[in-house]
Amino acid sequence: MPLLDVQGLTTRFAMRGETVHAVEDVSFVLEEGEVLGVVGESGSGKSVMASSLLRLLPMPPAQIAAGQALLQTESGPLDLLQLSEREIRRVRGREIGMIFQDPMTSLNPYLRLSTQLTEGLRRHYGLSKRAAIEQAIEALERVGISDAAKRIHSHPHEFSGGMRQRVMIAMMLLLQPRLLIADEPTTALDVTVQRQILDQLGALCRDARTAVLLITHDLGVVAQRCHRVMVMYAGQVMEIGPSQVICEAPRHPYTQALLRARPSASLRGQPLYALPGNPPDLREPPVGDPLLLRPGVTGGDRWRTERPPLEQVGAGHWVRASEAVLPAWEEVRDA
Amino acid sequence: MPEQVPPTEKLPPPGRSYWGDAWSRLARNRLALISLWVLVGITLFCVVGPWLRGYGFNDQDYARVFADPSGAFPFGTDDLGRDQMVRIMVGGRVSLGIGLTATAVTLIIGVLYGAVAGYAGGRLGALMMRLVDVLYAMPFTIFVIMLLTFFGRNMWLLFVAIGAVEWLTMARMVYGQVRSLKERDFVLAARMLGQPWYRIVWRHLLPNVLGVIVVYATLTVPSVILLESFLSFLGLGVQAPRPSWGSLIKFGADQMTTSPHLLIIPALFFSVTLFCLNFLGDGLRDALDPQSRRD
Repeated sequence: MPLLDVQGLTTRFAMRGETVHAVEDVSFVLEEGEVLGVVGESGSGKSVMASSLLRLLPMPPAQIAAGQALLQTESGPLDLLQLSEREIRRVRGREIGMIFQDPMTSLNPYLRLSTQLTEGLRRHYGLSKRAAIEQAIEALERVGISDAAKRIHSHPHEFSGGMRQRVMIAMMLLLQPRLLIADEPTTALDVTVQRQILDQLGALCRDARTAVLLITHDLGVVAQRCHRVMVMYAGQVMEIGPSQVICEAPRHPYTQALLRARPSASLRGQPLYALPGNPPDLREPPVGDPLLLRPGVTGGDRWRTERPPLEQVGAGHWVRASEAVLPAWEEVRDA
Repeated sequence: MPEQVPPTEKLPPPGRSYWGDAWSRLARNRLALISLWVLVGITLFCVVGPWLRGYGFNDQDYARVFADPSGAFPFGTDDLGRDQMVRIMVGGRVSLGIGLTATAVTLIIGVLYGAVAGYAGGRLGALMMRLVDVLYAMPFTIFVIMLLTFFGRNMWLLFVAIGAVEWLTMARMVYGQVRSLKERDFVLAARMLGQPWYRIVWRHLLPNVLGVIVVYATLTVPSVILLESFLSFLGLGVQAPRPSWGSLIKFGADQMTTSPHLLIIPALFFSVTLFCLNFLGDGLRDALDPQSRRD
């Protein structure tokens, strides 16, 4: 039994009579201790998908129109999408943790770390304040904050961005979740700090056998740190499979475009390949291959009016059928 | 933002509460501290004074009308020969009492209502704020007259009535603040730790709004004191012969050309109180913000 089994997750936003189809029929599984990368452009539905699992979206306007998400817990499988508000609160933090993109706003500036770090422990595990503080100090030390016993009593503004992200990681891992959702955890940090934080996060999760859903723009991160990767576009899964396979031999044209947009040392001095235009307007759900709506992309009529299916192309490797042809590099450069 | 706290900086002793911290920061603000003591002094003067003074606030003596300040009557006497000092003391009880009670009512209702509406957002929040708009549109005097005629004339009721009107602005302000704060990730983080909504509002959002609340509250006190004197003028507030600072100032203004002390002294008490409240509010705003701690 996988730790998390998501089937047909569909999330929509009802806005002024219009419906935004943010996540369409997303399915994937996540095993215990596995790191799954989720990549895609901004607006491709990655974050909405993750927030849907924890039901953090404001409802209305958001609504989870279909799907199920079975999470294995000590008391048997739970369908996250069916739980009551009170039940999902017990899952949040305890079973699934989440860290966010911007560490500058993810800690409350008015509360000491000691308060923020111990809240979850006291709520979920019923620890005394003293015991909770002791555990919190240990957690801070594990993420590499020196002099934690003293600094746990400081306020967030006394820490730099990288330090705050470590505090966030400590705060979420303290509750020993089975799954950690990291929504672009290092986007707001500079490159050297990014690396340290990802190393630390990876090591801690490996030790605790915590599964990680790593949402990122950075394909380098995916290749190095994820077991598997899921590529999303227009709220749909384009390709999912072992990250090494996908990074070396991407099958879907969209994945290929993403990989070609990566800077690399061998292409020094050359402009990067970037698909012109933006992801499609999801107020009208793309009926066919969503990539065909992108300017410059050409291709056959096979998937113009019918949604292409996901096809298995290798061990654990699925690709959405597509006949889209990416614009040539010269065309993109001149655009 | 310093990466490392320099080892020389003294970290606060562990386990000190938010309020303990705020107090130590306030204690370092000299102007705010002086204001606090002046306010305590004025309050004691008004509360304890009448018992020590030996005159009642309505003891009339036509042999000494409009007396200038002297040893026996440091603040002089009024048109009926009443001791102006004891009248200022008793008037202060009313004005300070109304300022504090009505502001407390404003705080409790306005802050809770605004915070809940802001956090709920969506349709419920909008509905709650439309109710505030409706009440806003209601003429204030009619509302107070209604309250006072239904429930009888009573000083405490008057305090509550004023508070019940003043909370609207506070609710709007807190609503706006909470709505913008609730989009910040730390609220999401608190939800991710499994916190229920009421704890998020109370522990995470309100401390962030506290600075604004305190400043607005210190501005509410004087406006409430003025409101009381306006109501007294209409015959709805405190009734003659009971004085309040507002009515004393109004009376003094009429006698300005002949007995200026009847205006100057109560006005002095009133304005010193307001100044002190403003300085104190400013100091509190800084003290309540942990990020302002630098020296």
